[in-house]
Amino acid sequence: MTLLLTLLIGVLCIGGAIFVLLSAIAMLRARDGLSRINVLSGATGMGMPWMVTGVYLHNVQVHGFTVVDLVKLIVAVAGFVIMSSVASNALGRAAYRSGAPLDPATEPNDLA
Amino acid sequence: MTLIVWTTVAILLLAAVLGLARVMTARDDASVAAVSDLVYFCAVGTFLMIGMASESIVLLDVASLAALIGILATVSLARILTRGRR
Repeated sequence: MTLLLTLLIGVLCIGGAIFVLLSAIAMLRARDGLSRINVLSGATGMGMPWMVTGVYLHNVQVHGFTVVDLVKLIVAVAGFVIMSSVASNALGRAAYRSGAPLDPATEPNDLA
Repeated sequence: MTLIVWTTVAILLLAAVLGLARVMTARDDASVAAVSDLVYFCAVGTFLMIGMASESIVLLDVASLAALIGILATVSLARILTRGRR
């Protein structure tokens, strides 16, 4: 059981970090600022929630289960997902309004 | 557990370095803002991992606060990009 839990923690932590790394690689490959803001959601929507869940499981393994810790986990995961969408929206709109060059293939474009 | 922690930290540092390499070649401010967000998440993840290795008990508090406060930095960057206009 302990081995299984440790294995799960490893998959969650390293898998989450790989999601962040894939976002960084996608940023190198994206061709404009809006696409880079878009590919960031891989890190915030999957990578960080996985890593926080891994940390929570380690916490349960070492200190035992408490409801307060579970609430903190839910707040953290919900915060990362909601923050990712709201902040990316605000940042993308600001990037467009600041006159950043767009990929010519951007379509549809309601802000134009 | 040590192997998990240091593998994760190494991957996160690689991601941060790749993002910073992108900043060196980026031509627009929006890319710099996106990369700064990525580096923020790499820093939070590295903190979580090193805290896990040292058996810290405030990790979940820090994670939930980082998730809730991180939006302030991004929205500030958005305001900076538009020079204060909405």
